[in-house]
Amino acid sequence: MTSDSHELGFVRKYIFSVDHKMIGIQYGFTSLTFVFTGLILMLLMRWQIANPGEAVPIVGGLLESLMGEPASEGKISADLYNMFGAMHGTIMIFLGIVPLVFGAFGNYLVPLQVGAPDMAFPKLNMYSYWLYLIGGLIMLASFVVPGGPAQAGWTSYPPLTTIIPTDGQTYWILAMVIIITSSLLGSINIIVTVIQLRAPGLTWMRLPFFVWTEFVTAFLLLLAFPPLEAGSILQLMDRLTGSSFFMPHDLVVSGRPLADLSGGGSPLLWQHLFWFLGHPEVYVLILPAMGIVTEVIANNTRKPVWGYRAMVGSVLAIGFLSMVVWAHHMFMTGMGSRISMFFQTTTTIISIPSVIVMTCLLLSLWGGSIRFTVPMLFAIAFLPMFGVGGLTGIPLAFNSSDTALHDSYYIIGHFHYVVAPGTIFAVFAGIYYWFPKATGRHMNTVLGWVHFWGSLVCMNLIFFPMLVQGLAGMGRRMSDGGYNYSAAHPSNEGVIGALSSTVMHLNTVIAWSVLALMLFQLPFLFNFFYSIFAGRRVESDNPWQATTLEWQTPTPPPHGNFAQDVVVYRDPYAYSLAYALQPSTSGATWSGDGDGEAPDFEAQNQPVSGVESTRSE
Amino acid sequence: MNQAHATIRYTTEIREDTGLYNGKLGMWLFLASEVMLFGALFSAYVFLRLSARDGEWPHGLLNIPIGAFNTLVLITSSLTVALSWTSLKMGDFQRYRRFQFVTLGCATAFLGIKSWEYYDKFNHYEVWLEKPVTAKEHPQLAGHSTDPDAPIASIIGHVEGARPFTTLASLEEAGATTVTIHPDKFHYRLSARQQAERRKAERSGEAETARIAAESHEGVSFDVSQIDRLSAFVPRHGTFFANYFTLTGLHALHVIGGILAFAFLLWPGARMWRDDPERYTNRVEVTGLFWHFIDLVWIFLFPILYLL
Amino acid sequence: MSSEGPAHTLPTPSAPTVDLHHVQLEQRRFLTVYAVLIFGTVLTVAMYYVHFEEMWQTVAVALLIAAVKGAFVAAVFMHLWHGERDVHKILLYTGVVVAALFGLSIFSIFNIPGSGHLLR
Ligand code: HEM
Ligand SMILES: [Cu+2]
Repeated sequence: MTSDSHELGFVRKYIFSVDHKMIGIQYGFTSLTFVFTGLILMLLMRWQIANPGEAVPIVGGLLESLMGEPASEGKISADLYNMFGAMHGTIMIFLGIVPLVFGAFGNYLVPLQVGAPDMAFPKLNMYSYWLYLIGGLIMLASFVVPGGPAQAGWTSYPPLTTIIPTDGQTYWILAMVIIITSSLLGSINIIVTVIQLRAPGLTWMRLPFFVWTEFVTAFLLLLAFPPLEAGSILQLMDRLTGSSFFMPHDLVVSGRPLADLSGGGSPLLWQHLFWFLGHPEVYVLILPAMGIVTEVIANNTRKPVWGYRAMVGSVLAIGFLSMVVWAHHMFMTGMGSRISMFFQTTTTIISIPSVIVMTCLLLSLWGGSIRFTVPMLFAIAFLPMFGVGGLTGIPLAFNSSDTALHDSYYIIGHFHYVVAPGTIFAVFAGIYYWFPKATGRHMNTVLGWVHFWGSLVCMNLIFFPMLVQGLAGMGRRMSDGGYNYSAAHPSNEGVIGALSSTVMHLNTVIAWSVLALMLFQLPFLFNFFYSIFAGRRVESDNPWQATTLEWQTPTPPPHGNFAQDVVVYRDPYAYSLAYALQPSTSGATWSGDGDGEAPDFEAQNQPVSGVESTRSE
Repeated sequence: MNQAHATIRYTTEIREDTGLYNGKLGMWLFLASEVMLFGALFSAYVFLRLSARDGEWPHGLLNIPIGAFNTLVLITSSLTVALSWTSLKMGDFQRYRRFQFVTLGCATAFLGIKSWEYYDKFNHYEVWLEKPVTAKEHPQLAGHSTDPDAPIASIIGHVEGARPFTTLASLEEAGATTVTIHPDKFHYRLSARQQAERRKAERSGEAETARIAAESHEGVSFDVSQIDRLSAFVPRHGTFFANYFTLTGLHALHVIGGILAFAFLLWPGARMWRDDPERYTNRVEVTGLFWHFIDLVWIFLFPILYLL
Repeated sequence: MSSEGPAHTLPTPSAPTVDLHHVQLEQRRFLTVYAVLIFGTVLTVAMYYVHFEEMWQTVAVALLIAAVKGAFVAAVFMHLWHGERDVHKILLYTGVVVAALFGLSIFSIFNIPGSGHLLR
């Protein structure tokens, strides 16, 4: 229920808000903060890898006072490295990117794009955000509990997690359970909103592609997260009550059998429960990104996207298939070759729909009169970057080649290509694209260019060397960056296959690139905050001349979103249609290059004109 | 701005093309996720059951008559929930209230019985010995094997002076040097058939060994050094009890959630019946869906945990 | 999910009709199902005392009875028999997914030495 009063107090309006736009913005700020926290952890780790055994400059003392023993002398010890590694992964995925693409973009845009006044359950929406925040804070709080935070990677594999002597792991589990509950509420909300609150005339095949991706993502979260919740509950039992869900018989740790354990559990079980979420989760990361990129590309090529129906079909196929590929992360657990064969087959099949989506987007560029706006730059860069990420996944899909590549830097390169210059670029595209709608002001273009080109170059300088290192045999999760296995280490003299100095030197290249990447985010941060208050005002409600419903509202959209009842008359991307090329009443003119050309589009809710109605539907 | 546009539709009325109001769809989606949650836990159970070593999985440690009775209690509450909803449909609020009182009564009874079962388990122990003994050496253990010369590796029964979460380490810490166990009449490692025969023999006083065991619920003592491990029937005991407590505990949490929801609708939430009876009826329907789901989960939990 | 009618007009809310006869019929159905459930529970317990030859027979029969009972609860108490199409679709999909989780994770233990022997 929406409230009846416009005179909401500050608290109700900005803090305990039930308005989907405000909640989306809250999600956005919170998750961006987490993303930057994760980035800083990463910077520290990369610095240590490039300079093993040296104290961290500038912040070393601070680290020591904050983390105590594991950071003695301002150095990042192996333990601290593990903590940072685990928390970097956890924060980035569960607290950063997913809430960003699903919580922030999904919340803000889905009701607008389906022509609804709000989410179906506004209060639930608010609870979802607050649960997320509480879960995130618990996760952060684990940094300061005795023994430090979780150390066993974002995947939290037992038996390591169960025997690890820190409460941090328990905090990790608790935080996860809360975050899972939050995303559950969020996904129910999105699904109900899309099914129930679509405006009249907005049939399924008229939905903007972004709505489709969020819809499928919501189903992934709804059905894949509970098994991890189950797994977390079991792991919590193991840690708190001494049960043995994941502890095998006769486990020996550091030469001593673990006393007072019944055994009889299975570490493999955790991996099933984890990856049953884990794999769909990576599609949670990428599908909304594809959705954002599609919106931006359609708008900036001024063309309907090519193969809309094929794309929708592919997204649905991905949604289903991603539920049955999870054990490709487990080829090396010894779970047996027959089941590996099954998962290898499904994994190769799932790359087909992904390729279809990418091909459609690529073909959408063909023959378009592309506007190289800042969001479009990010969207275009997304295509080859995600391409590298996806293609490097193919060798991993095969049991035989994965045997060599598993747990190496190649894996790190693979998934960072999909998530960083993939999803994060899409997020940037989305921020630059929808910023004018949310604030009524434009972001600065020149700063945007600096941000884009700097990020693009640095991302590749960071992640491409990782693929090389991995192929050369460097393992992941090593606090010394592979020094112990390098030719430079005294004990490896004459060892064939020891990591060469070239491969080791890439660590330095990466570290500097990471620093540069961080610096290139400063123009973005400045641009973002400066433009909120002092950016160039938008010239109309629809500055990009877009067709979808979110642009047909006042700017920024008021509580309740639309000023009039919304009825939808056409497909989502009615650009450059012959009948629309004559002057019409819709929107303002494109001022980007100032030639005042006539509008070339029809908004989804614009009543059918005489010319169009002659078109056969 | 015109407020009409700010109202969310289909909170009460039904959307034509889906036949649903928002709350109902939302509840079904929630239940779908619950299916995944319990489905994952069931899978974990079967996974561990199938990977268990021979003879490791306990049989017959749970009280079947009590469990069956609890099943009936829960089923009855499901019926009264359904009938309370039809009462509202007929506009009879008083009848609805009466049925819901029964529901709450059943739900509380269910939890009470469950707690009693838990309590019973907390005070039962299994003691694993470093070296197996035989019933010949310790006649008190006659019920633990069919053959007096067969090795007995673990004993179940009551441990003198132990509290629910006592472990061997905590006993040693407290300065204990011996552990006295009052063994049960038979061991869970006996097959279901053997257990049943034993029960019958004991009742008719036929079997010599069973008689001894039944009469002398006498303690048998071991030095702590003879004991490998010791645990009450708590999650620490082994994967069976770990599963039992996790599954039934989570189920009980759901029951508590259901009780809270129904109590809310019955008291503070009941005002809505006057203002918007249709919406109120919908709320009862949706909460009812949740309750039936809890019932459904129990219908599967009961045979799996108690009988298999 | 649902039909793609042209729907250029706003759907009209359905009027709250209370069909007393219908409700009473529904009540009778609830009571019948209740009887079935009681009977099923008794049967489950009785089966335990009958003892089949093999473990898996007991398992199969117990799960079969549970499935029948569950189906009655879902169909009648939860109105799935006359349920909405979208709900059916969602549940069907959930069923497929949970079956995949169950089946594939269980299957994965079969060629690990030393486990899964109960069914092999
Ligand atoms: C297009 C097809 C893709 C294929 C065939 C593929 C295949 C794989 C395989 C087989 C692994 C496991 C490798 C190992 O651990 O040995 C893996 C790891 C990973 N993939 Fe992909 N992938 C694809 C796309 C994606 C996408 C779109 C994302 C994310 C947005 C992603 C994120 C990840 C992550 C995060 C990991 C590493 C998890 C970890 O071990 O920490 N992948 N990929
Ligand atoms: Cu995967």
